[in-house]
Amino acid sequence: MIDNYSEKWSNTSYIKYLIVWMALISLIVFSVVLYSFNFGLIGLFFSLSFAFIESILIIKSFMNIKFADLIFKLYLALGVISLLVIFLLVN
Amino acid sequence: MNLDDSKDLQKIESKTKYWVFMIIELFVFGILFTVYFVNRYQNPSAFKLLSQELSTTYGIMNIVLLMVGSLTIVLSYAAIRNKNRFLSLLFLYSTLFIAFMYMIAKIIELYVLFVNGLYPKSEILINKAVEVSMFFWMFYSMSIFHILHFVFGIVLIFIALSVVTNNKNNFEDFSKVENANVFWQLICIIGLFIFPLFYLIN
Repeated sequence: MIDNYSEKWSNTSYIKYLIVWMALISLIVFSVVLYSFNFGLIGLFFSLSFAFIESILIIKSFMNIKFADLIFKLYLALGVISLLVIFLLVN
Repeated sequence: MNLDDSKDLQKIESKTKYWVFMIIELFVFGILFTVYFVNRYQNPSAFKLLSQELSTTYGIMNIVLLMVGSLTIVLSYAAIRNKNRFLSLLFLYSTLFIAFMYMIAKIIELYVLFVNGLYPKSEILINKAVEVSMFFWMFYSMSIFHILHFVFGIVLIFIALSVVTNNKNNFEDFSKVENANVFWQLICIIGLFIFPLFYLIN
Protein backbone atom coordinates (compact mmCIF):
# COMPACT_ATOMS: atom_id res chain seq x y z
CA MET A 1 0.00 0.00 0.00
CA ILE A 2 1.56 3.31 -1.03
CA ASP A 3 -0.25 5.66 1.29
CA ASN A 4 -0.55 3.55 4.42
CA TYR A 5 1.12 6.31 6.41
CA SER A 6 -1.90 8.54 5.76
CA GLU A 7 -3.93 6.40 8.11
CA LYS A 8 -1.55 7.22 10.95
CA TRP A 9 -1.89 10.95 10.37
CA SER A 10 -2.66 13.05 13.43
CA ASN A 11 -2.55 16.58 14.77
CA THR A 12 0.80 15.91 16.41
CA SER A 13 2.41 16.34 12.98
CA TYR A 14 2.69 20.11 13.47
CA ILE A 15 4.81 19.61 16.60
CA LYS A 16 6.84 16.86 14.94
CA TYR A 17 7.63 19.16 12.00
CA LEU A 18 8.59 22.02 14.31
CA ILE A 19 10.97 19.78 16.27
CA VAL A 20 12.59 18.45 13.08
CA TRP A 21 12.88 22.01 11.73
CA MET A 22 14.59 23.20 14.92
CA ALA A 23 16.98 20.27 14.66
CA LEU A 24 17.75 21.27 11.06
CA ILE A 25 18.41 24.89 12.05
CA SER A 26 20.66 23.71 14.90
CA LEU A 27 22.66 21.59 12.46
CA ILE A 28 23.09 24.55 10.09
CA VAL A 29 24.21 26.83 12.96
CA PHE A 30 26.57 24.11 14.18
CA SER A 31 28.11 23.65 10.72
CA VAL A 32 28.64 27.43 10.37
CA VAL A 33 30.24 27.63 13.84
CA LEU A 34 32.40 24.59 13.13
CA TYR A 35 33.56 25.99 9.83
CA SER A 36 34.48 29.33 11.42
CA PHE A 37 37.27 27.47 13.27
CA ASN A 38 38.93 27.00 9.87
CA PHE A 39 39.65 23.29 9.89
CA GLY A 40 40.33 23.34 6.14
CA LEU A 41 39.37 20.24 4.21
CA ILE A 42 38.11 18.47 7.37
CA GLY A 43 35.76 21.42 7.92
CA LEU A 44 34.37 20.97 4.43
CA PHE A 45 33.93 17.26 5.09
CA PHE A 46 31.99 18.04 8.28
CA SER A 47 29.85 20.68 6.55
CA LEU A 48 28.97 18.27 3.76
CA SER A 49 28.26 15.54 6.30
CA PHE A 50 25.89 17.89 8.10
CA ALA A 51 24.24 18.78 4.77
CA PHE A 52 23.84 15.05 4.11
CA ILE A 53 22.26 14.45 7.55
CA GLU A 54 19.94 17.45 7.02
CA SER A 55 18.94 16.02 3.62
CA ILE A 56 18.09 12.66 5.17
CA LEU A 57 16.02 14.43 7.84
CA ILE A 58 14.15 16.42 5.18
CA ILE A 59 13.55 13.36 2.99
CA LYS A 60 12.35 11.23 5.90
CA SER A 61 10.32 13.83 7.79
CA PHE A 62 9.24 16.61 5.41
CA MET A 63 8.93 14.76 2.11
CA ASN A 64 7.03 11.91 3.76
CA ILE A 65 8.98 9.35 1.81
CA LYS A 66 9.34 6.02 3.44
CA PHE A 67 12.60 4.28 2.69
CA ALA A 68 10.70 1.00 2.80
CA ASP A 69 9.03 1.76 -0.55
CA LEU A 70 10.71 -0.53 -3.07
CA ILE A 71 10.27 1.97 -5.87
CA PHE A 72 12.04 4.66 -3.86
CA LYS A 73 14.89 2.30 -2.95
CA LEU A 74 15.35 1.38 -6.62
CA TYR A 75 15.38 5.00 -7.80
CA LEU A 76 17.73 6.08 -5.06
CA ALA A 77 20.15 3.22 -5.77
CA LEU A 78 20.04 3.96 -9.50
CA GLY A 79 20.70 7.67 -8.93
CA VAL A 80 23.55 7.17 -6.45
CA ILE A 81 25.28 4.45 -8.55
CA SER A 82 25.03 6.55 -11.72
CA LEU A 83 26.45 9.60 -9.96
CA LEU A 84 29.29 7.51 -8.55
CA VAL A 85 30.09 6.23 -12.05
CA ILE A 86 30.06 9.79 -13.46
CA PHE A 87 32.30 10.97 -10.61
CA LEU A 88 34.81 8.14 -11.15
CA LEU A 89 34.83 8.65 -14.92
CA VAL A 90 35.47 12.39 -14.59
CA ASN A 91 38.34 11.75 -12.17
CA MET B 1 -9.55 -5.32 -11.63
CA ASN B 2 -11.63 -3.42 -9.09
CA LEU B 3 -11.77 0.34 -8.55
CA ASP B 4 -9.30 0.29 -5.66
CA ASP B 5 -6.71 -1.56 -7.76
CA SER B 6 -7.16 0.94 -10.56
CA LYS B 7 -6.65 3.83 -8.13
CA ASP B 8 -3.55 2.16 -6.72
CA LEU B 9 -2.15 1.69 -10.22
CA GLN B 10 -2.79 5.35 -11.01
CA LYS B 11 -0.98 6.34 -7.82
CA ILE B 12 2.01 4.12 -8.71
CA GLU B 13 2.11 5.57 -12.23
CA SER B 14 1.92 9.11 -10.91
CA LYS B 15 4.64 8.42 -8.31
CA THR B 16 6.84 6.79 -10.97
CA LYS B 17 6.64 9.87 -13.20
CA TYR B 18 7.43 12.02 -10.22
CA TRP B 19 10.45 9.96 -9.25
CA VAL B 20 11.78 9.88 -12.81
CA PHE B 21 11.65 13.68 -12.71
CA MET B 22 13.40 13.73 -9.31
CA ILE B 23 16.16 11.42 -10.54
CA ILE B 24 16.74 13.69 -13.55
CA GLU B 25 17.06 16.58 -11.10
CA LEU B 26 19.52 14.55 -9.01
CA PHE B 27 21.56 13.84 -12.17
CA VAL B 28 21.73 17.46 -13.29
CA PHE B 29 22.77 18.83 -9.93
CA GLY B 30 24.95 15.77 -9.35
CA ILE B 31 26.87 16.54 -12.55
CA LEU B 32 27.23 20.20 -11.53
CA PHE B 33 28.50 19.19 -8.08
CA THR B 34 30.91 16.67 -9.66
CA VAL B 35 32.34 19.37 -11.93
CA TYR B 36 32.66 21.59 -8.86
CA PHE B 37 34.53 18.92 -6.86
CA VAL B 38 36.89 18.09 -9.73
CA ASN B 39 37.76 21.77 -10.21
CA ARG B 40 38.09 22.37 -6.51
CA TYR B 41 40.31 19.31 -6.15
CA GLN B 42 42.59 20.66 -8.89
CA ASN B 43 42.68 24.25 -7.56
CA PRO B 44 41.85 24.24 -3.83
CA SER B 45 43.64 27.50 -2.96
CA ALA B 46 42.09 29.40 -5.90
CA PHE B 47 38.58 28.27 -4.92
CA LYS B 48 39.18 29.23 -1.29
CA LEU B 49 40.43 32.67 -2.31
CA LEU B 50 37.62 33.27 -4.77
CA SER B 51 34.90 32.29 -2.34
CA GLN B 52 35.93 35.35 -0.28
CA GLU B 53 34.31 37.40 -3.03
CA LEU B 54 30.97 35.89 -2.02
CA SER B 55 29.20 37.30 1.00
CA THR B 56 28.64 34.76 3.78
CA THR B 57 25.82 37.03 5.06
CA TYR B 58 23.97 36.53 1.77
CA GLY B 59 24.58 32.80 2.04
CA ILE B 60 23.19 32.63 5.58
CA MET B 61 20.22 34.82 4.58
CA ASN B 62 19.49 32.51 1.62
CA ILE B 63 19.62 29.35 3.71
CA VAL B 64 17.44 30.85 6.46
CA LEU B 65 14.80 31.87 3.89
CA LEU B 66 14.95 28.40 2.35
CA MET B 67 14.51 26.73 5.71
CA VAL B 68 11.62 28.98 6.78
CA GLY B 69 9.92 28.20 3.45
CA SER B 70 10.59 24.52 4.05
CA LEU B 71 8.73 24.73 7.36
CA THR B 72 5.77 26.76 6.05
CA ILE B 73 5.16 24.47 3.05
CA VAL B 74 5.31 21.31 5.18
CA LEU B 75 2.93 22.89 7.71
CA SER B 76 0.59 23.73 4.84
CA TYR B 77 0.69 20.06 3.83
CA ALA B 78 0.06 19.01 7.44
CA ALA B 79 -2.85 21.46 7.65
CA ILE B 80 -4.58 20.15 4.50
CA ARG B 81 -4.20 16.59 5.78
CA ASN B 82 -5.77 17.72 9.05
CA LYS B 83 -8.61 19.23 6.95
CA ASN B 84 -7.75 22.78 7.97
CA ARG B 85 -8.12 24.69 4.73
CA PHE B 86 -7.57 28.16 6.22
CA LEU B 87 -4.25 27.21 7.84
CA SER B 88 -3.12 25.43 4.69
CA LEU B 89 -3.82 28.52 2.59
CA LEU B 90 -2.09 30.75 5.14
CA PHE B 91 1.06 28.64 5.03
CA LEU B 92 0.94 28.38 1.24
CA TYR B 93 0.78 32.19 0.93
CA SER B 94 3.64 32.47 3.46
CA THR B 95 5.75 30.09 1.36
CA LEU B 96 4.95 32.08 -1.76
CA PHE B 97 6.06 35.29 -0.03
CA ILE B 98 9.30 33.62 1.15
CA ALA B 99 9.95 32.24 -2.35
CA PHE B 100 9.71 35.76 -3.80
CA MET B 101 11.92 37.14 -1.01
CA TYR B 102 14.52 34.46 -1.75
CA MET B 103 14.47 35.18 -5.46
CA ILE B 104 14.83 38.94 -4.90
CA ALA B 105 17.74 38.35 -2.46
CA LYS B 106 19.44 36.01 -4.91
CA ILE B 107 18.98 38.38 -7.85
CA ILE B 108 20.40 41.30 -5.79
CA GLU B 109 23.39 39.13 -4.84
CA LEU B 110 24.06 38.21 -8.48
CA TYR B 111 23.55 41.83 -9.58
CA VAL B 112 26.11 43.11 -7.02
CA LEU B 113 28.66 40.55 -8.25
CA PHE B 114 27.86 41.47 -11.86
CA VAL B 115 28.27 45.23 -11.19
CA ASN B 116 31.63 44.53 -9.54
CA GLY B 117 32.72 42.73 -12.70
CA LEU B 118 32.79 39.31 -11.06
CA TYR B 119 31.32 37.21 -13.81
CA PRO B 120 32.91 34.85 -16.36
CA LYS B 121 34.67 36.63 -19.24
CA SER B 122 34.27 40.05 -17.60
CA GLU B 123 36.99 42.67 -18.21
CA ILE B 124 38.39 42.02 -14.73
CA LEU B 125 38.45 38.23 -15.03
CA ILE B 126 39.29 37.81 -18.73
CA ASN B 127 43.05 37.94 -18.12
CA LYS B 128 42.97 35.81 -14.97
CA ALA B 129 43.59 32.09 -14.75
CA VAL B 130 41.04 29.61 -16.09
CA GLU B 131 40.05 28.45 -12.57
CA VAL B 132 38.90 32.00 -11.69
CA SER B 133 36.39 31.98 -14.52
CA MET B 134 35.49 28.38 -13.72
CA PHE B 135 34.59 29.25 -10.14
CA PHE B 136 32.18 31.97 -11.27
CA TRP B 137 30.84 29.75 -14.06
CA MET B 138 30.01 27.18 -11.41
CA PHE B 139 28.50 29.73 -9.07
CA TYR B 140 26.37 31.47 -11.73
CA SER B 141 25.18 28.25 -13.34
CA MET B 142 24.14 26.72 -10.02
CA SER B 143 22.51 29.95 -8.81
CA ILE B 144 20.57 30.54 -12.03
CA PHE B 145 19.51 26.90 -12.20
CA HIS B 146 18.40 27.13 -8.58
CA ILE B 147 16.38 30.30 -9.33
CA LEU B 148 14.71 28.50 -12.28
CA HIS B 149 13.71 25.77 -9.85
CA PHE B 150 12.18 28.42 -7.66
CA VAL B 151 10.12 29.67 -10.59
CA PHE B 152 8.83 26.13 -11.12
CA GLY B 153 8.26 25.78 -7.38
CA ILE B 154 6.21 29.00 -7.39
CA VAL B 155 4.08 27.61 -10.25
CA LEU B 156 3.46 24.45 -8.18
CA ILE B 157 2.48 26.58 -5.16
CA PHE B 158 0.04 28.55 -7.34
CA ILE B 159 -1.50 25.27 -8.57
CA ALA B 160 -1.79 24.05 -4.95
CA LEU B 161 -3.33 27.38 -3.94
CA SER B 162 -5.95 27.17 -6.69
CA VAL B 163 -6.84 23.56 -5.76
CA VAL B 164 -7.11 24.33 -2.03
CA THR B 165 -9.11 27.51 -2.71
CA ASN B 166 -11.55 25.93 -5.17
CA ASN B 167 -12.11 22.50 -3.58
CA LYS B 168 -13.79 23.89 -0.51
CA ASN B 169 -15.27 20.64 0.74
CA ASN B 170 -12.88 18.14 -0.81
CA PHE B 171 -10.01 17.18 1.43
CA GLU B 172 -9.23 13.95 -0.38
CA ASP B 173 -7.10 15.40 -3.16
CA PHE B 174 -4.11 16.93 -1.41
CA SER B 175 -1.63 15.65 -4.01
CA LYS B 176 -1.03 19.16 -5.41
CA VAL B 177 0.03 20.45 -1.99
CA GLU B 178 2.12 17.31 -1.56
CA ASN B 179 3.83 17.89 -4.93
CA ALA B 180 4.58 21.53 -4.05
CA ASN B 181 5.93 20.39 -0.67
CA VAL B 182 8.18 17.66 -2.11
CA PHE B 183 9.52 19.97 -4.81
CA TRP B 184 10.26 22.75 -2.32
CA GLN B 185 12.09 20.28 -0.06
CA LEU B 186 14.14 19.19 -3.07
CA ILE B 187 15.12 22.83 -3.73
CA CYS B 188 15.96 23.11 -0.05
CA ILE B 189 18.24 20.04 -0.16
CA ILE B 190 20.09 21.48 -3.16
CA GLY B 191 20.47 24.79 -1.27
CA LEU B 192 21.86 22.93 1.73
CA PHE B 193 24.73 21.63 -0.41
CA ILE B 194 25.33 24.89 -2.31
CA PHE B 195 25.69 26.78 0.98
CA PRO B 196 28.85 25.09 2.37
CA LEU B 197 30.41 24.58 -1.07
CA PHE B 198 30.36 28.25 -2.05
CA TYR B 199 29.85 30.34 1.07
CA LEU B 200 31.65 28.48 3.83
CA ILE B 201 34.90 27.50 2.12
CA ASN B 202 36.46 30.93 2.74
